[in-house]
Amino acid sequence: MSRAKHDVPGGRWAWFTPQRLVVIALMLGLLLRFLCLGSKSIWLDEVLSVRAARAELGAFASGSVERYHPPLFFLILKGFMRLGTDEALLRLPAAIGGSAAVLLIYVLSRSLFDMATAVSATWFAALAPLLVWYSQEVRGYSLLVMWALLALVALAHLALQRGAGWWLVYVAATTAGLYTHYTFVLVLLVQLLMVVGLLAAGRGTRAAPLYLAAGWLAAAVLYVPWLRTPAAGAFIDRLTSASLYYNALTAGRPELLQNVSGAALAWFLIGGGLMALGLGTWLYRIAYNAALMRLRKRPAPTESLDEPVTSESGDQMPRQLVDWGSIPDDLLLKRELHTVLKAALETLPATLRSVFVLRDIEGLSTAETAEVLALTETNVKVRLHRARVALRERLTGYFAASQTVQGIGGK
Amino acid sequence: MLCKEMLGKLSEYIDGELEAELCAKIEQHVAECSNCNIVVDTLRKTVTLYHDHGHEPLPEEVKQRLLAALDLGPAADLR
Repeated sequence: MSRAKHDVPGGRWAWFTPQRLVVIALMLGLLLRFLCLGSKSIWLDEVLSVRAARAELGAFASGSVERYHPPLFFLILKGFMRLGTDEALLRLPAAIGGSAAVLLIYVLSRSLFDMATAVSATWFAALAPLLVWYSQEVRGYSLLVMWALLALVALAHLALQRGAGWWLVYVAATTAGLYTHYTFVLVLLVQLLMVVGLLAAGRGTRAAPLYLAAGWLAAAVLYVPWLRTPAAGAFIDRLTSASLYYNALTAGRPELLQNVSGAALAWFLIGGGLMALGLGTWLYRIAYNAALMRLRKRPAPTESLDEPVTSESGDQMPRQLVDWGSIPDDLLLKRELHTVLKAALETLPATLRSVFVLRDIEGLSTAETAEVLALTETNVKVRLHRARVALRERLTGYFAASQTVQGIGGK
Repeated sequence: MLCKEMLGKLSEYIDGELEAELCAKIEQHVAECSNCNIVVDTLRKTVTLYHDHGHEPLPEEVKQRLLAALDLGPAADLR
């Protein structure tokens, strides 16, 4: 028995060489990302991606298609949608990006560190629940990770003098990342950290900072056309207004608020950083508190908070049961629609409206909304539902105005 | 499943936060009940409409007033 152990160096685990472990991790990563890709039907955020991808090319710049993201992911999705609209097919770009990310993690860690580090990094990336999740969703986040890693790999190769051709890869990946998600700005800081770290460890070429600076310049030049579109402008404005409150409060320097558009790009960088660090919620909280202080000086309103009709079990009963039919497209484009939406929103009690605006219009998560408004998550969900039901009733009065309105009780 | 049983769950259903079993029940019910079909459809449209068209930029005058307010009394209290 003991002879067998000595005969095979390394014992029974000898088969698991580092190379084989990497291959197993990559296979596992692929399996987790491609298995059951189309088993669930698409949910609201994914529907929004598909809607955006259906838009005309020129419409992206106007901001009417998508207010939160640059266009690259939707353009890629548009290409895939020529082949069909099966759930698995819609999620294919995300799955491919997520799989490529695992491979890139291996390449990156292998070029910077030893094999043991590379093996464990690859396993972590292959199994990380967050990475797996976004590899199976019709959103651009896994591609964001892929571009970030590809840019880092290229930069590492440049710093370690493995060919100047990597500079083109670096610029392409960085530009693609910026066109995929605004928070890619933070990845630029990571790139800087990596170059500084390599130099500090005495490993990189002295030319690395030059490659980095030239790369940033090239990517910036390629990104300017997008930054000049109304879509990017509107996004920057939103960040700016949030940052303004933050700054006025913490620095006590209202003079900084004078020239919004001139400082827009700087605020874009700071605002993006704050948002990504989770401070975005905090800014809403500050603005909310400031508004609350004003309101507290007024006499308390005496309206009922939950006035809609409720059944005996506490759920609200819909009163309007008329189909909106097809909302004419030209109507959606009219200013009139905006007025209607606004008017309906204003009829809601403030307790419901605040939740609805933060969740469905500003796009905060349930947890973030709960934090801003100092509510429990359950409370946020209940109020959001009541707000939606109430708004639906109000809008029905408008969209189904020409049709017969009937009301019935529940079954 | 009855109409009023599912009404309270619709928001979570639309957001895709409901467990598969309940989703299946709702979908089965909606397929059979035209009233609920309309409610689900129009509720979803409500959410989408506000997501796409509901955003209201802060009016310049309000922004100025907020900033002024921040600079005066409340700001000191908030710090």
